[in-house]
Amino acid sequence: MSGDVLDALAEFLLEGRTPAWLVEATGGPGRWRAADTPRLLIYAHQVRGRQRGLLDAVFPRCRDVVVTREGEAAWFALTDACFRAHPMRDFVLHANARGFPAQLRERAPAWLAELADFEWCELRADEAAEDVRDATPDAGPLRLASTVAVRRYRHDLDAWIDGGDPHADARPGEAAVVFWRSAALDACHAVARADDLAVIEHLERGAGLPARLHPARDALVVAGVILGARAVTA
Amino acid sequence: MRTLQGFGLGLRPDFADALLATERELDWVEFVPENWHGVGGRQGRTFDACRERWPMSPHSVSLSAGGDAPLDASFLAAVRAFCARTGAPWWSDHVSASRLRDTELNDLLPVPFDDASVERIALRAREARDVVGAPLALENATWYVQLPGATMDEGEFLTRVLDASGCALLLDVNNVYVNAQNHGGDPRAFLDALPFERVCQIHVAGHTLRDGVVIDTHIGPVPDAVWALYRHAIRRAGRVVPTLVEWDTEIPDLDAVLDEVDRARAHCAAALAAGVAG
Repeated sequence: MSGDVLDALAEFLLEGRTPAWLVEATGGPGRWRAADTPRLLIYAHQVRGRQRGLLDAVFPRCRDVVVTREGEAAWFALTDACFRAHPMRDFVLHANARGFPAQLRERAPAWLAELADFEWCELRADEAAEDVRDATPDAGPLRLASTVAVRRYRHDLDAWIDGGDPHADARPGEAAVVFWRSAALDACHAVARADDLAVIEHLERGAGLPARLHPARDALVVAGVILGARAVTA
Repeated sequence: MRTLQGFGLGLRPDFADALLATERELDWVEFVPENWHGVGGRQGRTFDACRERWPMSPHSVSLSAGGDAPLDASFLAAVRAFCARTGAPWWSDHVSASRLRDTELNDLLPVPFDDASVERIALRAREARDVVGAPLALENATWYVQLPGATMDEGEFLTRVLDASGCALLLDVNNVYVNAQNHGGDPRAFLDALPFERVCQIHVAGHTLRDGVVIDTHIGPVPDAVWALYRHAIRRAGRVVPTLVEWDTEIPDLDAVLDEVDRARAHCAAALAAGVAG
C-alpha cells in the first residue's frame, strides 16, 4: 500500500495531476485528512519552483529573452515542458539542465536554442571538474586545455550578447565559438578564426603544426586554450 | 577522521568566498554534495579552501530513503568520495522521499507513517551507509500532508526508523516546530519522546507562514519560538550538540548569517547553564 501511495504521488507531481486525482487514486477522501488535500499543491509548487530556479540560474539570457518578449507564463510553460521531455535523472542539480537547448530547437526565435547551448557551454567551462592534465600547464606536450569546447552557430551570438537587448534578434552569421577556462579560473569564450580552428583541429588529431599556424598557436597559448607552453617556447 | 563540535553553518555558493575571508568564529561547515560534486574551477578551489580550514560534513538531499526507486549508485559513490576527501565523521540525509519513478524531484516528499515505510527506510539506510562506509544520520523532515495508511504518529515512526536502521538522528528543531504548527501537537512533548542518545547534530532555521501553512523555507533570522525549542532540546540532551544554522532564502550579508551562529552558541550556553528546566 505504501508503494501504491508513493507511485500515485509520483504521478501527481510528474504528470501534473490534480489533488483531487491523487485523493481518488489513493482510496478516496475518507483516507485523507480534509485539511491536507489543498496542501498537496505545496509540493507541486515546490517541485516546479526548484525546476524553474535551476533553468533561471543556468540560462539567464534565455529567460530574459522569453520573459521580455512573451511574459513569465511563457517561460514557466517552457521550463515545465523541458522537464517533462527531459526528466531529472541526475543527482547533480546543474546536470539536469543539459536538455534545455534541445527543448528549444523547434521554438522561435530560431537562435534561442543556440543561445541556450552557448550558456550551457559557459557553465561547463566555469564548473568542469579539475583535470590532472591541466595541473601543470607549462609542462608536457602541446595540448588543448581539458575545458575547451568548440561550438558552431548560425547566428552572431557574441555580438548579440554585447548588445544586451533582449528585444533585438541575433544576426544570422556562421561563427565558431571556443569556450574554455583560463588559468585565472575565468570562464572564457571567443569567436574562433580559421587559423584558430586549424590549430585546434591539428592538436585534436595529434598532428604537427605547419609554421603558418604558429602565430595563432602562440595566441591560443597566451589565452590558455592551449597548454604545454614551455614546449613551444623552448 | 575529523570531529564536528560546536557551531557551524551550511556552506552556500552565495557566500562561500565571503566565508573564507571572515575572521569570525565558526567551528565547522556543512555542505550539500549535490551542489559541489564534479565542480572544479573557482568554486572547486573555494570548496578545497573551506575543507582545509574547517571540519566539514555532507548533508545530502538525494538519498530518498523513503522512495521506491533503486538507490542511486553514482550518488552514493559521490558521497563516499566526499566523506573520504573531507574526513567527515558522518553524513546526513532525510527521512523522506526525493526520487520517485527514477526521477529526481529535488524536494523532500512525505512517506506514509506505516510499518512498510519503517522497513523500507531502514533497509535502504543500512545499504546506503554500508556503501558510503561512514555513519549516516537521518534528519526528521517537514511534512505538509499525512499520506494515507498512517498507523502511527511521526514521533513513533521516527524512533522506529532509527531503531531499525541503527542510524543517528540529525534533529531539525525548526522542522519539529513547523510540523507542530501545521498538524497540532506539543513540540516539546515531541522532543521529549525522542531518543536523544541518538542525536548527533541539530539544525536550526527559519520558516514562512504562507496561506495558513508554515513552510520550511530556511529564511532567517531564526525565530524566537525556534530558539526556545532549541534551548529545550539542548537541556534535554544535557550537552553541547553540534549545531548548524541553515539560511537559504533571501540570504543577507554574511555577517548577519554569522550572527545567527553566535546566537546558537549563546542559546546553547544559556540552556546548559539553566540545567534541566521545566
